[in-house]
Amino acid sequence: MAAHANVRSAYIVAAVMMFSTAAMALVFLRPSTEIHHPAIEPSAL
Amino acid sequence: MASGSLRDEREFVRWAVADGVSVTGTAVSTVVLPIVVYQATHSPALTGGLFALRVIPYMLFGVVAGPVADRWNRRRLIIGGHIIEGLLVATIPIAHMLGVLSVAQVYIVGLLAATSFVFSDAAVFGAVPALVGTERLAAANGLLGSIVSASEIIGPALGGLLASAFGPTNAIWIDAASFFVAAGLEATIASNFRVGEPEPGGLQIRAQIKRAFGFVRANRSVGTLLLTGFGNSFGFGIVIGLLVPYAVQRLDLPDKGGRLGLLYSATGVGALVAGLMFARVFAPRRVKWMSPTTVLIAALSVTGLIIATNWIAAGVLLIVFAWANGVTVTSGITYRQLASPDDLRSSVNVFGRMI
Repeated sequence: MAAHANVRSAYIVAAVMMFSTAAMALVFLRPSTEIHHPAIEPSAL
Repeated sequence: MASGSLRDEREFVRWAVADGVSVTGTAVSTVVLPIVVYQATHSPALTGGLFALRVIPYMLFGVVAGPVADRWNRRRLIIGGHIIEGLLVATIPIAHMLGVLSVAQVYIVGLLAATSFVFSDAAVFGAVPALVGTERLAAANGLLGSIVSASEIIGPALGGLLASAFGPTNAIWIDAASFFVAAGLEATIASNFRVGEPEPGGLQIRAQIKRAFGFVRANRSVGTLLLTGFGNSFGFGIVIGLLVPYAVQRLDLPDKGGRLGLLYSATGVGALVAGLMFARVFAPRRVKWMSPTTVLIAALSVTGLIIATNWIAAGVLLIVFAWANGVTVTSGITYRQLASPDDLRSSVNVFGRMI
């Protein structure tokens, strides 16, 4: 039973870490000022 | 750099084949080396330690490897690195034939090969943009990512088959040979893997590390994507690292057998799809939304896994989870490569690999 709780707790830690990371990325990402190569070709494949 | 289909570009095709061959060889060893160690020692700790070993060289040399790859000869680092890894790996079946193979040797080979990989891997971050040009970088990274995913699906199965057919130590010849084939193919590519001529000259490691830190500080999105990569990989590591106990305890699956294997395959499929579609969804300006969204999708998938009790639902969630992880990782690498000048690409991206 304790082992069950451990895996579940670890997965909860992973989920919390990823939710926080998504929020941090949303707040701080400002890519438009840094990239000077906007011409990406999706058809290049 | 001229634009056009990457599939028609023979140099890139050779690069991609070399990548696929060497990753497949490594995936064979990923299955076979633990078998060799376990058969010799019957120690789970020594067997598991083999994987932990691969992290050490990145911690020790990562911060130096990037600057070396940015200021020295990337071609020598990549081709030479593959030859060195091939020679190191070949000592294992040779020692076995001579009857002198020891677990200590397997560990030393693992440590030295991983060290060599740190330097060649750092050089690859700068080499791919130089080879294909910035316009086709997303397409190239997506394609290379899907080749790696496919190799990582095929390699372990091939390793298992070869180990049972020829014995685990003989199967390691495949890994050694794969490095030589990769080095041979890379040697036919007429490029110094650098934008512009020749190397900047003088290693100046300390100054280069300082420049790379300064660049990350000055470019907020580059730094944010490094942290995003860390948070994403942290969660990914937990989920994949505990997949067996999760499947056994939460989904009531037996600890060996097909359905557990299918859950691992699900992660491979998700990563493969991410690579194949990457070029169609990526644009540098979209990163502002793409990265938070894909990390959020991964977080929601883990939440689903916590709730799930059915293995099919868990399999579907793992496909989505691995897909989101693949897009997040490849977006981070591609964005950092596009934002950095040629002589900082290896240094900046090695930071991402280290954390």
